Amino acid sequence: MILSNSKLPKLRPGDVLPELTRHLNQEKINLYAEAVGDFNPIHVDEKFAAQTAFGGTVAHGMLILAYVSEMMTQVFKESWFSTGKLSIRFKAPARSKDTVTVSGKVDSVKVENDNLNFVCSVGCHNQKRETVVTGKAMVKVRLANQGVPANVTR
Amino acid sequence: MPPEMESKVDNRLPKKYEELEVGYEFPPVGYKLTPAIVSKFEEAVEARSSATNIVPPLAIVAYTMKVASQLIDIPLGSIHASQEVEFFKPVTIGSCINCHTKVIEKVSRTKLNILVIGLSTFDQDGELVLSARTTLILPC
Repeated sequence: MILSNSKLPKLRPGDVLPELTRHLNQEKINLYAEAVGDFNPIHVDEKFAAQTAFGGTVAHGMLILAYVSEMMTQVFKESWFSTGKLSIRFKAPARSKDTVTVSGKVDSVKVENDNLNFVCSVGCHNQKRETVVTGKAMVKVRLANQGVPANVTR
Repeated sequence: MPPEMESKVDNRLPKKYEELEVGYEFPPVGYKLTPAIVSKFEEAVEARSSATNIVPPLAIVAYTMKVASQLIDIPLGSIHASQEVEFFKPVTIGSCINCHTKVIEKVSRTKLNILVIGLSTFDQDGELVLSARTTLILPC
């Protein structure tokens, strides 16, 4: 496989995942709209969006989810592509001038068969510390690539 | 939808919420994950940890949802309430994939409708690469 799992960190319950911060702007939102073909005016039409309850354009929820996935990819590498699972609720919109930070924490690590099963709380908040998304991420890592960290349930 | 994908999509009008039946599965829609499509997505999401030749899984989710949005009429003012997604295997750039869209649940309230859509994506070998469950709140 092209992306190696060999350098996975030995995460334990309670460990915090490296945060990922992105500065949004209309240009980035437009770029995402073009990439996925989603030109809903709430994302790309500033005049239209100004008249909605949001008062301005908001980022696509899936763009924020892509940031969450990017954080998980940085930590769990190839395992994320083949065993990752995300369950997310969108709590508030990310606006076009927001700075959003994706964060995560390891809730549990359990050994099951030849895998370490990680359950992480993940979320994203804006510069006002308002929650944008919140949820759980699960991923299985083959023990051969990881080894069993201390304090891990067998 | 990116121009490279348009020709593969069914041209029939999208179904309105009222026309959808729980359990209904739309005919699958296929497309190719070309280097241009993937590169554009990676640029848009500022992906910095991409593996050589592997498609970011959220790109596939986004395109699969776009396919669904062409099959189902999602009116302005709709809210993406929650998203579940599970990945089963990495997908390489250049792969052809098939998206299956199914109506999972409908809940009608006075001022809004809740629609849950199931999405499954298979590669050219017929292997499941991801499944997703999207919950939308639609204005009445």
